[in-house]
Amino acid sequence: MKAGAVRFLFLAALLGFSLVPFWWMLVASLKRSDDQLTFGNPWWFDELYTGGYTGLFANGTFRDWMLNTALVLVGTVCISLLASALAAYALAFLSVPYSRSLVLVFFATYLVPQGVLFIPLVREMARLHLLNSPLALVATFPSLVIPFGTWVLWSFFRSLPRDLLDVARVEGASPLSLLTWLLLPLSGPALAAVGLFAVAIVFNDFLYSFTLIQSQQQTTLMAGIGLLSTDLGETGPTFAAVLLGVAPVALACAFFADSYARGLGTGILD
Amino acid sequence: MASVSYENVTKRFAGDTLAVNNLSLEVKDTEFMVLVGPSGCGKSTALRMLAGLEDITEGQIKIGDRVVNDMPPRDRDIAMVFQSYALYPHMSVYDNMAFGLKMRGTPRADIDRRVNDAAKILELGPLLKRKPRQLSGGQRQRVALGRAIVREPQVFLLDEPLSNLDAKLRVQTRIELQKQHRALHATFIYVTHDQVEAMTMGDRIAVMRDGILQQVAPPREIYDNPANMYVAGFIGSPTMNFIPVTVNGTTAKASGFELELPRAPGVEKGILGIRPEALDEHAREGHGGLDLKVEVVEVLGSDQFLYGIVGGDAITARVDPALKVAPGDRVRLGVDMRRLHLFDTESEKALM
Repeated sequence: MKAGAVRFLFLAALLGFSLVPFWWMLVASLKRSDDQLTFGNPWWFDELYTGGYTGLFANGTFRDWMLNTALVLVGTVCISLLASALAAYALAFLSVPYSRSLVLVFFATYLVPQGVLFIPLVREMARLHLLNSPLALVATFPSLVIPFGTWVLWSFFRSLPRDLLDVARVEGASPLSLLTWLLLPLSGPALAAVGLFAVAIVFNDFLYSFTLIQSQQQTTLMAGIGLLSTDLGETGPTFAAVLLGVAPVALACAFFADSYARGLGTGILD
Repeated sequence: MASVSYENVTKRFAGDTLAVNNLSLEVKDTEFMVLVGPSGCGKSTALRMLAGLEDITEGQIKIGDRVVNDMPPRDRDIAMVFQSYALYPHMSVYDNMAFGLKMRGTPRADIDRRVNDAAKILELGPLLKRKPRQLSGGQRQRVALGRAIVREPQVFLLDEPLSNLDAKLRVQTRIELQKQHRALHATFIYVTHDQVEAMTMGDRIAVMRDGILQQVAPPREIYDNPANMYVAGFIGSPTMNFIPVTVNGTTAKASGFELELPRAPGVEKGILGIRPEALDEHAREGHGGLDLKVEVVEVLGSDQFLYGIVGGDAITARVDPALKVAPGDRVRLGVDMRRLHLFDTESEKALM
């Protein structure tokens, strides 16, 4: 009983600690102008001022940012999952020579500093006429997700009982139906892990959005907020925008943390 | 329905492990063939090559008249039941059984009829909507079998399908499988390490060891006329007594007794093989019998086994359970001379 109480208090303290920044931002986003930073109680608001939010949503540019972000997010997650699953299938089950080393090489690409890639990347996007379009990010982000995704799904696939695949092959499943009927439905946790990683890549990025997209209309929420804070004297809308930019990741993490851990767990155990 | 033939089939794994060594075996149409041997003897590899789950290094395998060496598993018209059952965990019992038919584009109404028919035979009707994790071991086993049956394949391959069941259920399922075999009129190839399963189920038994086929014969013949010491020792429980003897004409002399062999084997020494049930408390003509110093007594109700020493050799005998024997006693045993085996010391092949 006593150990349970200690555990509860400890977890409650951790929860409070992690919620504080969100609360602070929420309070800030519900105040007029720069009240939050100059005077008054930073942990509570005197009046509920929603002008920051309504202003943002009335703002066409902000709506564009949200739409661009959604496009980049959906594109990145879909392309990454599809490509990772296909690569992992091939490496795990087809006779690819040196498949194990290949997976390690994929993973090693994370050691290349991102700064090194900018100049070739910008040139490449220019050649594809994608500069200044969110599609440049849809083309770029998956390259950051796929190596990790391939590794996670590869080790997850390999941890599945071999008999399951054998029996499905005897039953008449083609490689594609093995993937769609058997492997993907069983790989929920691993797919969630890869998806969450992709969400984090998209929402953590400022650098790529900032360099690949110059136009205000075409940029993402994250890069846009950077512009917002430099342009406007009013902090309310900035904090509202930051909160809206952070909330999806926080919620995704909260709901999928369990699957994420399970998806990665099999990989590490392998 | 179809016959199956292995023609000089060899399987070499990476690292030069020889899993199956020049296997030639004919399985007749609708036959129940059991491949038996200890783990690692190559029996499962032989089955997996037939299923198309392992490449064949040398030789060829035929199903009916078709050479299937390079044919993908789905085109071989076989069904396989695994020891782990390998049920798809995210699908219901119905979908598990329907999967193979769906993959082959069987019309929905046909699938429905065949799954329901199989469910009726295997008494799975009330379980069709359940997921595998909600089933007991025996029920999972039946689903795995049902999944094979609905496909109506030419050949059923069963890889230790009873090994995960408890003893009582294993006996029931053994009988059930034999009924199914008769009802389906299909060729069954059954892999097991259990000699009781082999003896009770097989039309013929193929005994394997270290990738090499030792003997193929009906159970009775394997038991009565084992081709070598390995087969003799593997089949039958308790295992056959092996006693080194020197031979002079027709007289075989062991450390603790002498026997007159029915004919001269033409060797100077050998290994005498006597099954425990060929040794009992009845005196026989023609030899003085064996003087057993009893060390352990096992009473099983229907049988009584005595484990002890004759001269310098360990001997097991099956005697009447009514006979009162205690460890330390001496018992005079008679040998059923018609059931004597003699093996060559070097080659371990049967001489008589």
